[in-house]
Amino acid sequence: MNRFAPVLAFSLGSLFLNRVASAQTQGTDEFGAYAGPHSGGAGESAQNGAVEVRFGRYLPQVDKAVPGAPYRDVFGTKSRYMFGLEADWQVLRFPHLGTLGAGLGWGFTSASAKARITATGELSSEDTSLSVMPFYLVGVLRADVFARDYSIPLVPYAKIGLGYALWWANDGGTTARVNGQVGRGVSYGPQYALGLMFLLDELDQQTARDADNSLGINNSYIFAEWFDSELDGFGSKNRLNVGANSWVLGLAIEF
Amino acid sequence: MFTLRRVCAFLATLLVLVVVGRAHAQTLTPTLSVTKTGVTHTAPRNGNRLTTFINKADCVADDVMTFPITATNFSGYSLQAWVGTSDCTQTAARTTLVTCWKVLDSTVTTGSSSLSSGSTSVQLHTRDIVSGYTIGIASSGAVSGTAGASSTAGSGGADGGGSSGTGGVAGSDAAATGSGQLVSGTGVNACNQPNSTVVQGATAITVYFMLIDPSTFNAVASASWPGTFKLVGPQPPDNVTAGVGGNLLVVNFTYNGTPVDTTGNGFNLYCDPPPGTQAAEDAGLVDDAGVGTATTCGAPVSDVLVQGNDPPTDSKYLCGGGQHSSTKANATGLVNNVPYNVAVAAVDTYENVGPLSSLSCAVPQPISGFYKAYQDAGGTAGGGFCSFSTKREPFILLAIFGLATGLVLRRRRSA
Repeated sequence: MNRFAPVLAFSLGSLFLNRVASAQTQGTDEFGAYAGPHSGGAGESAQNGAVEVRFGRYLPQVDKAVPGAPYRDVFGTKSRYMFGLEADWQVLRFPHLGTLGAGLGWGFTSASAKARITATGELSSEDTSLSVMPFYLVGVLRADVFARDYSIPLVPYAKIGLGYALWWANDGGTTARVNGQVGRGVSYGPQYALGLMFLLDELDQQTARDADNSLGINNSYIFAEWFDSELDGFGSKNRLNVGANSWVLGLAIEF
Repeated sequence: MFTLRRVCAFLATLLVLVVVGRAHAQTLTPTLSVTKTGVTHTAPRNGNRLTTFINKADCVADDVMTFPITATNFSGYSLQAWVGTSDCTQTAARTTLVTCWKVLDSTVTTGSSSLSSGSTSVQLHTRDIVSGYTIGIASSGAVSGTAGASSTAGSGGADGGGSSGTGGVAGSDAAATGSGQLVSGTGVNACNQPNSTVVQGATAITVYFMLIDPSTFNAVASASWPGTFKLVGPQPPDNVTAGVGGNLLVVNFTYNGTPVDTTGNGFNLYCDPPPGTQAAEDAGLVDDAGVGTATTCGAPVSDVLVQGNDPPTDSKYLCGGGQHSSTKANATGLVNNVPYNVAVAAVDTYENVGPLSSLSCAVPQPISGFYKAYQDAGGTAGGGFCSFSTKREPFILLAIFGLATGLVLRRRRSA
């Protein structure tokens, strides 16, 4: 890791300098202004939305809302992961800033373990699980000014909105039921995220142009995101807090 | 020179040739067809099982199969059905090689001598169909004598031949034409698979419906129905263990190697005592309050579940099941603190249930899963996806109130 960090820093630095230098060489000719491939020039198709494929760590914050730590006691502390998708509609474009739009996301995660025998505390053979299917509706600001105006292939972004999750607890393959109450419900609350996307088009500009010409894909990215969802019913004690404070990696395309 | 006598003789010869030639040209070719999609069974079967699949239960229940048949120009021929593993339309297969057995021998009849086409249905017994294979053709032929393979007169509407009407076939055990003894009224012994310890797969057979020329025993028209039968269930898993769950047992089962029988389709779990509180009470395994007291199991012993035997026919012992790819399944409906013996039987795509595995014994006990642990910690969430509490969630109430107020104010302003 110690050897990898300087190499990464050097690579990013070289790429940054190269891009800035490249941007400075652009100008005008007898046909008018010209710029890089992602300047929103006449050769680029219209851009209206984005799609993300997401994968990341997801540990529901169940234990924040109740005394003790039932989630940790049953499922332990090892990492659980979530797969998700997000679709954005980029409604507005602010020149020299980026796009603002609405995003709708879906994900799924599940944790399972062996239940314990009540009398002895020993592990039984029966599986117990908690499954969470979060949805969210967020406003998304993607600041692609660096990529478009300065040819720096980085796009920071922010999301804020509401999350809503279905959850269900199973024992032995069927929905858990304790004292007559069925173990499933919904949770909701605020959700925030900050992320940084790396523009993959810079790695192969010809392929990127072909993708735009043939498929209408303007840009493609890999991204890393930190997010926090407090799905506790805005502090309600009657909601299982299945939100998470974690990171996500993924792929995104704009079209 | 021509004489009148020579001219008359020539014309007479010409007339004879023309008449004979025309008569020859009008000889109608008989046809026979079976509507494969219309074949039905009297024995109950799962909707997923193909109609071409015959299992042991079908045979034991003396399942009767009905075949929709359409025949044209069948006058003068007998309708026969033969079953075999080779091409029974070949005369030698029915007379010399004896690789086919006859399950229907009927006289073709029509409502009128001028009608020789029609549709009907032919009924064949599953036992007769499999008997030539399971108990041998020579011995099976000896049981003929009853009209077990009779067919009923069909309705009209035949195709071809220029004639139609109430044509059909009528069953007759006395109208034996062609070669071979009629296999009919076969006993339940025909349902036992020969070499059952060796045979693990299905056996393909074909039912041939043929119009037989009684003078030559040749088939002048034929139709076939391909089927398969399987009279033994798959072997059970070699290793069976039961683990503790709450009101259930988690049964793990594996084979040593790959099962020989490739028709496996799932597994049945059998419990002794049977699932349900009443069964535990009847077995004297719960106290007066209906609560079991056991925490451990002795050696697994059961009069009902015996390794290698067929599963009990009483479905009350069935306590769970698994898919073809499963290696574990839950035995459910059990009473906590009652010892249960569990065995596994494999099921094939023919709905045959194989013999029982070895037994395993375990005691279901109360368990604490995540949701119970959450509730024990004081959590109150749950109750369903539509659960909502006005007392505990004032935010929702405020949001709804605010939204409603906003709409009212907006309407007043616009008015």
